[in-house]
Amino acid sequence: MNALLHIQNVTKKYGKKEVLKDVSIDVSSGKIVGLLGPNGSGKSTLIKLINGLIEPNNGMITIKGNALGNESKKIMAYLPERTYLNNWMKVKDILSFFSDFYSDFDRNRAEEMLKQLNINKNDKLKTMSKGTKEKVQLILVMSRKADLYILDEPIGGVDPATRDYILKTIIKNYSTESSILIATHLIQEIENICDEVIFLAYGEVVLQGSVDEIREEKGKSIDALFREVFVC
Amino acid sequence: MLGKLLKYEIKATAMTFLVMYVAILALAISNMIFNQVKFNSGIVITLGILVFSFIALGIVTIIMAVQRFNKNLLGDEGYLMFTLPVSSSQIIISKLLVTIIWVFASCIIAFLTFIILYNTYSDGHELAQLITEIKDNWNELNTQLISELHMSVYSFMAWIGSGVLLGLTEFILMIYTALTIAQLPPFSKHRGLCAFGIYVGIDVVLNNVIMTALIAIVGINQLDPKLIMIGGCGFAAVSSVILFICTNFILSKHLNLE
Amino acid sequence: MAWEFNNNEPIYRQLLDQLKLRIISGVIGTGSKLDSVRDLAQDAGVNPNTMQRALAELEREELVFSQRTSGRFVTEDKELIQRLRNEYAHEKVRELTTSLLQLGYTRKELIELINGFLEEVS
Repeated sequence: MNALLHIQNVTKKYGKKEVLKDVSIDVSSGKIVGLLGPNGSGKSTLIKLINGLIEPNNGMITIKGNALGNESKKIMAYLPERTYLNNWMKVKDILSFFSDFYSDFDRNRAEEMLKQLNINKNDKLKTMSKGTKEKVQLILVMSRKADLYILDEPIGGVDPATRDYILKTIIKNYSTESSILIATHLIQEIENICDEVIFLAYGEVVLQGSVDEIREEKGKSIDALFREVFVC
Repeated sequence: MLGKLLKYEIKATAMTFLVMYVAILALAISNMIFNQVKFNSGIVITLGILVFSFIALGIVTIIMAVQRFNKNLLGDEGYLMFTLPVSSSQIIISKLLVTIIWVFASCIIAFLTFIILYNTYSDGHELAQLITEIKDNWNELNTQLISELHMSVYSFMAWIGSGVLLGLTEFILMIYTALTIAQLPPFSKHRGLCAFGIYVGIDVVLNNVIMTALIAIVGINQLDPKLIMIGGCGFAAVSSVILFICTNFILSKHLNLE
Repeated sequence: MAWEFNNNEPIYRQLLDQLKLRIISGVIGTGSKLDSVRDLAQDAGVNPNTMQRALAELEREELVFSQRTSGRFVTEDKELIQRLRNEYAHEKVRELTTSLLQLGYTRKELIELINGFLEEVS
């Protein structure tokens, strides 16, 4: 099966500690998938693995059937939790940067979104607040026509209006050829836009399935189920 | 893709260097003007600051080499750089090349400063005269070099140039290797200190221990200037390759972004 | 008309119900063209696949039909819409009367209550 993202029996250790244990996940095209799990569940490690920033101790990850490498990076768009912008560029410079390195970058779309969020192209990244930088990063990622989008906590720490804008943009970006993987702990807000959710706990996949099926079966929201599963 | 990396690396560093270059040239020219109007304290001050500026330029170049690597690759910006569709070797080469380019540019600025100062301070002995003198002695220099080293002035200069270039490359790659080793889990809590320590360690091992061993193996009596020159270049080249491979390996397999 | 969701139930069925409501109340007029799946999904804040499922079900129930190149349209079948409207009203009345009768209201009190409310509203 040529799933868009295929993670097979992946294990990752840091020293003696097993951060991910025999994780297998398949994401096919045209899906919005929520990757849910508390801190320490291995979510960020898994995301680093998918992005090729680190390598697994065991198992393999393929994108469209191919091993991770430059070719897969061309069709992946990653929004990390952190701010990865430098402080010497202006907004328009980072737009040029993305245009230069990614052939699927839609500059016009990015400029349109900047306008909608009242961000000036000529502003220096250095002078922006953290929130504005996060918006710029989101715009950069969503302006790419990638096959796999990986968003790490895209709506954490933003005001409700921006959150709605972000969720609507995610839906707008949807296409049958691409998929979006959203890692978050704000489950209530993203439940409705996900096709499927994956629960990750202590480095293992605890639950995986379609949102509607889970709601039907368990008779409760994913958020409520999550709180049950991960009782503090 | 390497070209694009070079473009942005130069853009990121240009301001710092260009400002210093302009300041240096301005100082040299001011010095020249002060000499013509006999403003003595001005002459001394500009000369003093000029000397200081070149020292500062050297320090700034080293700091930039460290900063650009550390901040852009091993900090949060690494999340962007290492998810670009480029290989880590391309990233390393782009930073190495740009640092070398700035050192080269700095040399040109130093040369220009020299010409301005020479013009200012050699009453009567103009630049044109100097050039003629060099040309006259060229052939004599050539003959001497050929008899002692079996090479012309041109190949001599080429070997010296290569030696300097390779030595610079080795120096920069040593910095990169130390930084990448220092970001590995056992050291990452005290990156700065460890990087410095590792740098010193690599320097001692490569340039002192191994080189001494090689010299001992070859035998101190066998050393002639030509062998030293070629051997030095070769050693720097091999060291550079080893350091590059280490850095590239760690960045592609053991990147520890936090 | 705003979209309201209960996260404890499958979205698909809720979408189906709310789309039907929009049609029978005339918010989406008879014979009118529906927005694209993506626009509807954006408006409702839901996954496009789920919206697509709901629309496909509406097609099966013949409330909407799709024209290959032009998109999806609400049926012109006024009788069908009227019937659904009646069913909806019937269900609402049933709910209301059942719960109030259970509370102990008599038929007379019930009718007085409704009339009183209607007067207030006008």
